[in-house]
Amino acid sequence: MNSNAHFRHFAERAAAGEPVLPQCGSCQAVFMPPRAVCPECGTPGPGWVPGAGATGTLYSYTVVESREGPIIIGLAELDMITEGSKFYASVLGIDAGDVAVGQRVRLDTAENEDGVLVPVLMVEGGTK
Amino acid sequence: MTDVALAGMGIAETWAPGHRDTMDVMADAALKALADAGLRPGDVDGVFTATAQVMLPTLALSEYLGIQPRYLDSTVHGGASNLSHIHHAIAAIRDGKCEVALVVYGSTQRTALKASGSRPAVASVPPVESLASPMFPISSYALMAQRHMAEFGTTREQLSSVAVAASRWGSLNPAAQRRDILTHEEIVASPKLSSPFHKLDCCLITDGAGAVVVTTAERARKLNTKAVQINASAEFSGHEGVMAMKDLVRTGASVTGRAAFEMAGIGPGDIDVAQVYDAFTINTILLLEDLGFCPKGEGGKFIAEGNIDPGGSLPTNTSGGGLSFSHPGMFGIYTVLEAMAQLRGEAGGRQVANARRAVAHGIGGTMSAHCTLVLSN
Ligand SMILES: [Zn+2]
Repeated sequence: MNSNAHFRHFAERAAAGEPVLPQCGSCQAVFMPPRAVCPECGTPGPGWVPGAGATGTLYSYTVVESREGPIIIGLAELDMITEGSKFYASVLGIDAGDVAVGQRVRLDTAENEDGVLVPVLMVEGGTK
Repeated sequence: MTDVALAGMGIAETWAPGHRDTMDVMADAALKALADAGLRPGDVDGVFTATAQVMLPTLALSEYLGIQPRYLDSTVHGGASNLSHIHHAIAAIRDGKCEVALVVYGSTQRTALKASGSRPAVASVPPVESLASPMFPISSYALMAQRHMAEFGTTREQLSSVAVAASRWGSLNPAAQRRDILTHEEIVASPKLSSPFHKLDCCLITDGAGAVVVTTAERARKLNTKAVQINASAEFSGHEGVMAMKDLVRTGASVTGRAAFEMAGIGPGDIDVAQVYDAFTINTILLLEDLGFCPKGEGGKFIAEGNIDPGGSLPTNTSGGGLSFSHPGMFGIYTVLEAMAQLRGEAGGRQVANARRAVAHGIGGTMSAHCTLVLSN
């Protein structure tokens, strides 16, 4: 995996239960994934903005048949993120058979199979 | 500007799981391509290789074949790599940096899978995506497919029509690893992997190697009466992972397709046969749309109506493609090899009558790298 310092910070803050999103200090764009240079204006060294509770719309999803049963992975357009950048995470709060493009989602954290908190997309008013 | 051509082609014999090493399938394909062009290894002065299994592959293969190249290129960006090699070789030849370029791909990934339980990785999951434990790269393409269905009403049956068409072509190709013609019912009865994809929406996992020889059109004509002209080439990348892909249903193929057609001075309507990298069923839909062969959003309908089938208006992936012919990892070289076979009139029972102009399109990563070639006989 091509890990990097910006991803490490993103994952560490989520693991602490305080998910963050990269934000450009120059043009203020909020974007994903974390990277060295703002994709909107080219300024290096972006900072961070709190992301917990950020809401948005499910842009696409896929139901992965894992050994533990079906898991949903989604790409969301978060309202605070500049158009084009998307948030990729597990989708929780809904049965795999009920998930649909266009559903409202909220950025949260939840434990993965190793007990580590990771960012997730929670479906608002979902079926579970 | 110097015209450049494809003077030779070679495909290695590979029946995995076997006991051949990656170097040997690469050397086999390379020597066949050189023999086809009437050349010997010592005539080569530019070597271009891609593989996920050999370290320093351009150096290793050059030594193995007794070549001391003055132009070296080990560009690796997945399934577009070998098309990019050709794109780069054109520039190098025009600039006088080399005259005979050997472009090679090889993989024994099926043998490796059988031996170790895992396939040599061509790409790694992007860091943020890894937190969600996806089925990489299948889930990335599945997200494109699901979005295409939501945005344009593409149906599950239309996705199946891509694999059915590929299998119809594969049934006509004695070298195809899948010879049976699939049905929609069989595809949706195959194991679910990452929705909307089932196992039969995904490419084969095979061993294989292929090579082509690129040189000046003038020299190619002297060497081989069946030389294929390269009319245009273009490459582009807009992202690596799907999070950074601005629009999951509009790909970089629209950039390279437009550039290549403009350079060739023709349009999609002038193309007799298309070869596009079909790692997953959605690929053929997206790439045919973005290369301009049908309107955006209508790729599923276009394919389900039989346009890319044998006898259709745009015969596509006529070898059987990655879905039915072979898929040893970075499939790009096979889009070129099959375009050449068609333009040379050597495609046997799957030959498209009067095939004069072809498009070969490779993709790498998750619809990340794109390279389009326009070829003619
Ligand atoms: Zn900026």
